[in-house]
Amino acid sequence: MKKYLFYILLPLLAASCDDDDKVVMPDAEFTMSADEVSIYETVTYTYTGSPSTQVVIYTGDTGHNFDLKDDGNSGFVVNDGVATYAYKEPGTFDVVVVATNYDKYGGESMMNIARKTITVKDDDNELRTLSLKRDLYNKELPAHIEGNDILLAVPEKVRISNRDIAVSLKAQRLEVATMSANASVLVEDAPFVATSKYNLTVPLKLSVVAASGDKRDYMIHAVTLPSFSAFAVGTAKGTIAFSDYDFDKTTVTVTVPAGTDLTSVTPVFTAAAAKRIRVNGVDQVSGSTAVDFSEPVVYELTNWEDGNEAMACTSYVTVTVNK
Amino acid sequence: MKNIFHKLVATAAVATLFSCSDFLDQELQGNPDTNQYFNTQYQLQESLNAVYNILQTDKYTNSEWIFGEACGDDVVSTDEATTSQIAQVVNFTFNTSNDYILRRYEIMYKGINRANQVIANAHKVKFADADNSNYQNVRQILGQAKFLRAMFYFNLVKTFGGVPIRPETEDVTALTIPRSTKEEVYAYIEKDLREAAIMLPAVFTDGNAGKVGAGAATALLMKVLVYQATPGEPSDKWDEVVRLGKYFVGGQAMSYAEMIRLETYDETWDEIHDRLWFKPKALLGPKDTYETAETQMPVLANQYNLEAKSTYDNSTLHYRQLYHQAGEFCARSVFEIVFKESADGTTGDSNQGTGIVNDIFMNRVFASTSFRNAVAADPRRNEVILLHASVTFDGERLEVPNGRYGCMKWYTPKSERPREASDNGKNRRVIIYSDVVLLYAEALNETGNRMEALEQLNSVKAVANKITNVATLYKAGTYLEMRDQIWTERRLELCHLWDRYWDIVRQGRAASILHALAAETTHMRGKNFIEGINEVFPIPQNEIDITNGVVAQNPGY
Repeated sequence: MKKYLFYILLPLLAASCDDDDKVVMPDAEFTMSADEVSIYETVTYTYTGSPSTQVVIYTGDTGHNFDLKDDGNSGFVVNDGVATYAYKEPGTFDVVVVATNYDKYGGESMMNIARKTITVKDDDNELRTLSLKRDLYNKELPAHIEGNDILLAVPEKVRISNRDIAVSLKAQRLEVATMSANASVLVEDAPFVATSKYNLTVPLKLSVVAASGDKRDYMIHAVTLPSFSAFAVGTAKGTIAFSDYDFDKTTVTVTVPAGTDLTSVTPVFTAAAAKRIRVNGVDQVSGSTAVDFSEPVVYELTNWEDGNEAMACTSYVTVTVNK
Repeated sequence: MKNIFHKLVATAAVATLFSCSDFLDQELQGNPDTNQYFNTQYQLQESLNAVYNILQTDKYTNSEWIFGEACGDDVVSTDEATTSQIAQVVNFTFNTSNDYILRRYEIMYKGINRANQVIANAHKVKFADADNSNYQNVRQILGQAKFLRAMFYFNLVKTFGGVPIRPETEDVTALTIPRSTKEEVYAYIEKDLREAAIMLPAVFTDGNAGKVGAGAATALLMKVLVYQATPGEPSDKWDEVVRLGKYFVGGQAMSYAEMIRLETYDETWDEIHDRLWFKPKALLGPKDTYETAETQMPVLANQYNLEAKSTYDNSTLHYRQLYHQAGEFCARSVFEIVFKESADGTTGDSNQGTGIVNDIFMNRVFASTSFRNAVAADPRRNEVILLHASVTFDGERLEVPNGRYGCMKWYTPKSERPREASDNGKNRRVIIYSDVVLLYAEALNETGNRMEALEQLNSVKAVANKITNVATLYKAGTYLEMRDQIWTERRLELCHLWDRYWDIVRQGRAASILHALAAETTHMRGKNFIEGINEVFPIPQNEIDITNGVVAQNPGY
C-alpha cells in the first residue's frame, strides 16, 4: 500500500519541482468598467488572467501607448489586480495589459498581452461662467446662469472715483468660460470673439459646442437694475448716490424744511426701468402713496425682461429724509 | 504510591504550565507597556511630544512645501521640468501610485495615530492629589492633541477630500475604515478645534512657547470654516468666521458655550465639562471655581498684533523679522513649528530639521515671474524677494543661482545660522496674525459688510506701507472688487508660507491661475490642471489595494 502511494506521489513531486524552475506563459485577460466613457470619467480595469509576477497596463492615450513603448511611452504597474484611470483627451485608444512571469533569477521571462479598445468622448457642452468686465471700468459683473438662461442684472450707472458713470447695454464685451477646455463658443451662430462688442438690449443666443459636436443653446438676458432718476418731497429734491460697494444698492437723501411731519410724506419719484416699486411689500405710486419717513425707508425696485417675468432683478434704494 | 506519583506528575505538569505562562507574561524590566505608560501626566506629556515630533519630520516638512508651495504659482522650481515624482506632482501628471502623494497620506495618519493615543489614554493618568493644576495639565495636553489631530485631518481633507476617520482606539478586527464624506471630516475637525479652544490658555509663553493655545485653535478654526464655504455663496460658515473674527480681532466677548456651539451637542454642559478634564464638581475644593457654559473665553485681541516687539529683547521688530529668530513667538505669530539646532553643532539628530528650508531657498525653489510682477509695486517687494548677487539686509551677497529671485522669508540671516549646516534652526511660521485678519476681512465681504472688510484689509496694508513709507491703500469696491483686493493682499502678505496652492484651490481659481502660469515656463507647468478633478489629489493606490477597494478612489483618477 505504501509503495503505491509512493508511486502515485512521485510524479506530483517531480511536477512541483518542475514548476519551480520553468516559467509558465501567463494568460493575460482583463475587463474594463466601460468601453465608451466621457472625458475625465474614471475607468476601472480589472485583471482577470492567470496569476503572474507582474501586470502592467498601457492606457493607450498620449504617453501611454503600448505600441510606442520603445519611444518612451510608459504603463502603470497593477499591484492588486485593479487599476483606475481617467482620460484627459477624447479619442479611440488601444488599452493593452501586459502580464509577465519571470524565473526566480530574472533571467527568463514569458510575456503575454491582451488588447481592448476604448472610446473616450468629450460631450461636455456646459457653460461655466459669463460676465461683463472690460467695459465696466474693470468692475466685474457676473451673470446668473440657470438652466439655459443667463441673466445679467446691469446697473444704470457704476460709481468710479466718486463719479457715477452710465453703463451702456448696446456695446459690451463678454467674458465666457466653458466647463470643458475642448468646447467652443458661438454667439448668434458666429464664433465668439472676446474683443467684439455685443448688443445686449435684445436677448442674445450663445451656444457651447462640445468637442464631440454636441451643441447647447443658451440665451443671454440683460436686464437693467432700476434706480431712481428723480426723487422729491414737495419742492425738496433728493440727492441720488450709487454705491461703491454694491451694484444693486443706491441711496437717496432728501432734506426738508424744519417742522415737516415725517410720519406721512408723499414723495414724487421717477424710475424709468422699474416695473414694480414696493416698500415692505406694498406697491408705491409716485405722488400718491404716503410713507412714514421717521426712519430711513428701503424701496425695492424690480425690473424684468419684457414678456418674461422669470428674468427679473431687484435693487434696493435707501431713502433718508432729514429735517 | 502510584497515586502519589500521579499527583506529583500532575502537580509538576500544572506547575510547569504556570511557570511557562509566567515566563511568557514576564515583562522586560523598566520597559512600560501601553497599559502602564500613561500612569502619570509626565508620560502623557511625552506622548504629546511625540505628536509634535511629526511636524518636525522631513516627511512632513517636505510634503508641506511640495504641495502647499511648489504646486502653486508663487514659485518655480529647478527640477520641475524633469520626470521625477515631485515634478509629476507639481505638473499634475502623476498617477495614483505617486510616492509623494502616498507619503503625504501616510505622515498625516501617523500623526493622527499618535494624537489618538494621547486622547484615548488620558483616562489612565493618576494624580497624587486632587489639586486643580493636575486637571489643568491634562486638559491642556489633551487640548493640544486635539488641535494637532484636527490639523492632520485638515491637511488630509484639503488634499484628498473625505478620508477615513480612524477610531481613537484601533480595533485589530476592524482596521479597514471606509472614507467619510468631506462634510463629516470637516465636522470632526471643527469639533476638535472648538473643544481645544476652550481647553487651552490664550497663548503659551516663555519655556512653553511653541505649544498651541486658544489663539492658534481659533485661527485654525477660522481657516477650516473658510475652506468649507464657497466664495460668492452665502453660508453659515461665513457668518461663523465673522463671529470668531469679532472675538479674535475685535475683542468681543465669547463664552465657552458660544465657542463650542453647545446647542449642537447631545451631551449636557456638565458632561462636556468632565470629559474635557475640567475638575469635576464633586471634587472641587474651597478655592476652586466651577467653569460654566457661560465662562468667558480668554481675550485674544490683546495677545496678537499686526506689529510686534521681540519676545527676546523687547526691541521693535522690522517687518521681515517675523520670519527670523527675533520674531519667534512674537505677537504677529499665531502658530509655528519649532525647530532647533543641535546644541553641539553635530548632525545625527535628523528629526530636528535637515536644512530643508535652506535647501529649497538656495538650490531648488525660487520666486516666479508671476509673483514678481504681482509684488513689483508693493512696499514688501524687497523684503520678500531678492535677485541673485544682490546684497541682503545683513550685508551678504545672495548666492542663489544666476537670474533667480530668492524667497527671502526662507533666508536665515548670518547671525542666526546653525553651526551644522544641515540643522534647521529656523521655526516654520504656519499661521501668522495677518492671515487671521484677512480671513476675517474676507468673511465680512462675503456677508455684505464691505466697509468693515475694507477697514480690516487696510489695517494689514497700512503696516506693510511703513516699510517704505508709502500711503497706498485699497479702495472701496463692489463684492468682486473687494474680494480681488483681499485675495491680492493674501498673496503678497502670506507669500511663501507654503499655503498659496491650498488658498487658490479653495478660492476656486486654481485652474485659471495655473493655466495662466503655464506661459511662464517651457515645460508649461500648470497647463495640465483640470478644473473639477485636480482640486483633490487621488487616494494613494496603496490604500485602495490594502483595503480591497473599501477606500474608494476620487472621481477622475
